[in-house]
Amino acid sequence: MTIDETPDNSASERLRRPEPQRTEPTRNFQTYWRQGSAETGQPADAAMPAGNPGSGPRDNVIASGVELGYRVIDEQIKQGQRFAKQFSGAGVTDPLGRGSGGAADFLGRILRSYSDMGALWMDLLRAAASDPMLINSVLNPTRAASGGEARTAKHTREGTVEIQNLYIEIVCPEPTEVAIDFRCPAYTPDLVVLPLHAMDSDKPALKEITLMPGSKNVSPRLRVVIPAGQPPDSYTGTVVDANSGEPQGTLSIRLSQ
Amino acid sequence: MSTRAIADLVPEMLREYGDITRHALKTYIPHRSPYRYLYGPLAEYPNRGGKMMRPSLCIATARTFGAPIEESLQTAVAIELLHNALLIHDDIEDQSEERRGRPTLHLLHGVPLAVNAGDGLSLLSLRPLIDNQTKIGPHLALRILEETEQMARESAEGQAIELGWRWDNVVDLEDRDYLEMVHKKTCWLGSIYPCRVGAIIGTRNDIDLEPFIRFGFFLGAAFQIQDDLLNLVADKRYGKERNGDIFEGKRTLMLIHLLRESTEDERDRLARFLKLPRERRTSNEVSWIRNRMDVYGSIDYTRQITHGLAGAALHEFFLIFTGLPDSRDKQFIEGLITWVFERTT
Repeated sequence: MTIDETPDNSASERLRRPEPQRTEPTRNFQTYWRQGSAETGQPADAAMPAGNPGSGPRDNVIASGVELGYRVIDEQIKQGQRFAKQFSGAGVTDPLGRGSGGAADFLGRILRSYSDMGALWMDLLRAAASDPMLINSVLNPTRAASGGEARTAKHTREGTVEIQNLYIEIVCPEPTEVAIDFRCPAYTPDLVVLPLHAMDSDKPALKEITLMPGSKNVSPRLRVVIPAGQPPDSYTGTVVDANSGEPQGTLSIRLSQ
Repeated sequence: MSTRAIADLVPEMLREYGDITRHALKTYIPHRSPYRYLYGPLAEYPNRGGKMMRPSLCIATARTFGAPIEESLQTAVAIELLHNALLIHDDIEDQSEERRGRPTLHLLHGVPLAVNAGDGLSLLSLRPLIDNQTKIGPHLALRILEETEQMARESAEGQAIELGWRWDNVVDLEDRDYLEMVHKKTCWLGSIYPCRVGAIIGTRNDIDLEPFIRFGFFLGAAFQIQDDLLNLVADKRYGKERNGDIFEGKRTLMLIHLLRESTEDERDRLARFLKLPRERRTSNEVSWIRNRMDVYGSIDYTRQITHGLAGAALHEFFLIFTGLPDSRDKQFIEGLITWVFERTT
């Protein structure tokens, strides 16, 4: 004879009702509204009010109004899409603002980029055409070379050149609005720019700044590298003579997104 | 930020962006001959003020997505110019008598000059859109022109639907018909287009614009229905004649509800009233209709619908804007939804 020694607690343990999931009617307004496709994993055009509009007549009016609103707007969006398809061959873009994708769309984007660049070139040419000195330099290259030198650099004292033209090169991996304020009246070949700091010391400094020497015919060049994710702010640093350690000027850069 | 603070923010920013837009708009209205017959009348409505909700919504949306104000200003000016142009024509078509607290343009200058001033204003609205190319580049400027073409078409369709109902004295309308008409007539210019072009500018056209149709529809519809309600219940500050919509036979949600709920005799009486030309509609009949709206709860019913639509607008707002950094502009757009109910003008 085998005796089951597993204790039988059924007699001693009380049966209990499971805890109810809720203890009052659900009157969550959010349940009226459409859930975005990201939330439900359903296509957006299938989105309708999630229901449970409550029980009072007021709730019913509000809920039916919202439901009707979603029906109307979803139908209107579909009509807009049909209209866009109907005219897609006639050069009309999708009024819902979505690209069609594929090679044609890609080609269209490239063409638009070229047209933008073309407009920019036209602006540059227009600006150049209105500059008599530039026109003169093109027509008379020999005279222009000496004239250009005179405009670019003026010797002030031995080894020091007054900066009149400065090439600025900004390397930035993402779209950023950059404003530069460079105050350094005289240039020597040994100028260096110390790291630029923001007022907020938690923000990283701009360190990759190089001031490249110019020559008789070439203006000095300021190269600024703005790392990805650099927070928008005003960054300021000192321009010093590496030999003497004397401050020669300041450089401020304001970044905004 | 508290709900109260956000509600205070809305009028403040409407003033701020409204002033900026108005200042820029004035540079687009010539001050030369024929001033008396064209540029003077044409400048009347813009000079009378207005809420400036449309241009403010455009600027705020662009800024929420990171664009500086100067990039959206030309588009905001174009929106306001076109809005005022359409108001001139609407007032003629509706035979309205008051606009922004003063007589309508056609009552002051006659219908032919007013029609021409409206045409002139709508054509002037093209100039800032052309100027866009120097501010934001030719590609974005062209995209905004495409959006403008769609908005203008939708608005014209909406206006045609509403005028057609009155022309044919259509009385068997449903709420759905009204919402479809309002979507086209009001929402596109009032809220969908300002948000979409603002987002195009702010994101360099790198965003799915469909959600803005939903958000703009719910916001614009709530705004329009509240406007219709104010026409029946507001005081003199509202700036339009009280019960003017009933005089004009406008198919509002309240009137559609009343036509649906009233007895057959009452419906016949309503249909007879709506068939009359405006000048033959009497104040007594208008008062009777207004009274029937109270009896059948048309006003309360419409208020509830408006609250539902505003709630849906808030939901759609969160779907679009939740991931963006908190800003004054973002709070302004959210605040507009509740401001719809608080405004008195």
